[in-house]
Amino acid sequence: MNTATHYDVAIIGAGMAGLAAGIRLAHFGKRVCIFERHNAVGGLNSFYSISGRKYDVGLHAMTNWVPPGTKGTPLGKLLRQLRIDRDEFALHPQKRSRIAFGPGGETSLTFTNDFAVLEAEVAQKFPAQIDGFRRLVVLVKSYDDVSLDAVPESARAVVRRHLCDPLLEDMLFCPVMYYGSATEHDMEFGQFVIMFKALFLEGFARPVEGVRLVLRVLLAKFRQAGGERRMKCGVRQIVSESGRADRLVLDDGTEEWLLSSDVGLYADLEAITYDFATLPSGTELYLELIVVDFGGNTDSVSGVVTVP
Amino acid sequence: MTKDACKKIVLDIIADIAPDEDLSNIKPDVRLRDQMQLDSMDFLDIVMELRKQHGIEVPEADYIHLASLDSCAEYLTPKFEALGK
Ligand SMILES: Cc1cc2nc3c(=O)[nH]c(=O)nc-3n(C[C@H](O)[C@H](O)[C@H](O)COP(=O)(O)OP(=O)(O)OC[C@H]3O[C@@H](n4cnc5c(N)ncnc54)[C@H](O)[C@@H]3O)c2cc1C
Repeated sequence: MNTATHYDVAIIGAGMAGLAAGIRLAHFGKRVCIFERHNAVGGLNSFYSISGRKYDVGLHAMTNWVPPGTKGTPLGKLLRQLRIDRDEFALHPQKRSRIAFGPGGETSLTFTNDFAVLEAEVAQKFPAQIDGFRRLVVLVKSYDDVSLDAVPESARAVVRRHLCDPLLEDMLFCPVMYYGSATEHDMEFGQFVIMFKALFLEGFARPVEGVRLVLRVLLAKFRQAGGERRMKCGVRQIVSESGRADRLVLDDGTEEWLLSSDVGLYADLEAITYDFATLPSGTELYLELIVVDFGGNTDSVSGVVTVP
Repeated sequence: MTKDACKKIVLDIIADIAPDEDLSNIKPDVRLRDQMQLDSMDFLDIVMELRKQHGIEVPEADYIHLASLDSCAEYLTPKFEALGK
């Protein structure tokens, strides 16, 4: 007997991306399962404790902080889509951050969640650059950073059109690239804009309890929405038939099925008719018959047939 | 189902998916996205809740009918009625 379960969607990895995708899919009524190799969720955003002291790994600060009620920025959209009430995270805004360059950190720029602080710092420490800096900020604010047809451009090149002090340039790029660059020494300008807004124009915050709380909330939402998860259950291979991923081979060698079409069958034995949309000849159909008796005992068989 | 009851259903759904919006002064004849922050993802959520809570399917080609409360009522009321509601 084949005991494999089938899912509309399998997500590999219970990091924050997997959890968030799982919540949305479950909202939309998909049968979704997250397969995680590790015994804990969170991936790179994780935590541990040693002799009673708690440590966070990964997420120490959440970017994109805006005051409650601010419209149209990523934090609000994200919370809304995941149906998280802002109070559940109880975010505490940062006090201040500092970018310090030079052997003893001689040149430094302080920034807070109030952009005027950074602007005043630049004006004070780089007086010759402040006009260019303000022009750059105007450009950043008006740039459509999620446009799908923007031509990729070097952020360094764009920034150099506004600033000519390499020290200020590097100081501004440092935190921005730290959070969001996939290229050495440079990044794509749209990505720069997203990160510049996230760090400088919006800001940093974190729940007092740190990453533990964020993960707890995400997991609770996933569970409430009906999502399933399998821990210590790594995926070794994704098997695809005729161009569609339809089976997972797990680390222990067992297999899990993905539904390879949107057709589900809930049959009433009295009237067992199938009303499928026309399927091309050769399509493989995965069949499973589960019998549940009135005492809740179940048995099942499954198999594959090919449409003649 | 009256058109007002239908509008109330849509407003209740919006209140669920966008708890941070003030819905007390929504004008029925003005596009919803002109009165609050609703992006295309939020519209997908409205469509999803109509299906989950009320069994009503809105095909993608018809999303345009969800633009304002009035157009929602115009479009959805017959669908509710067809379900005997
Ligand atoms: C030191 C450090 C500090 C950071 N600081 C911050 C910060 O302050 N703020 C911030 O926003 N971001 C920060 N980040 C970045 C952030 O941690 C990552 O961007 C984020 O964790 C990525 O999430 P993800 O879900 O995409 O992937 P991951 O977190 O990498 O999750 C992937 C998951 O998939 C699992 N997996 C992999 N392969 C398989 C398989 N074959 N089968 C089953 N499961 C599998 C892994 O076990 C893991 O749980 C930091 C990262 C690091 C390393």
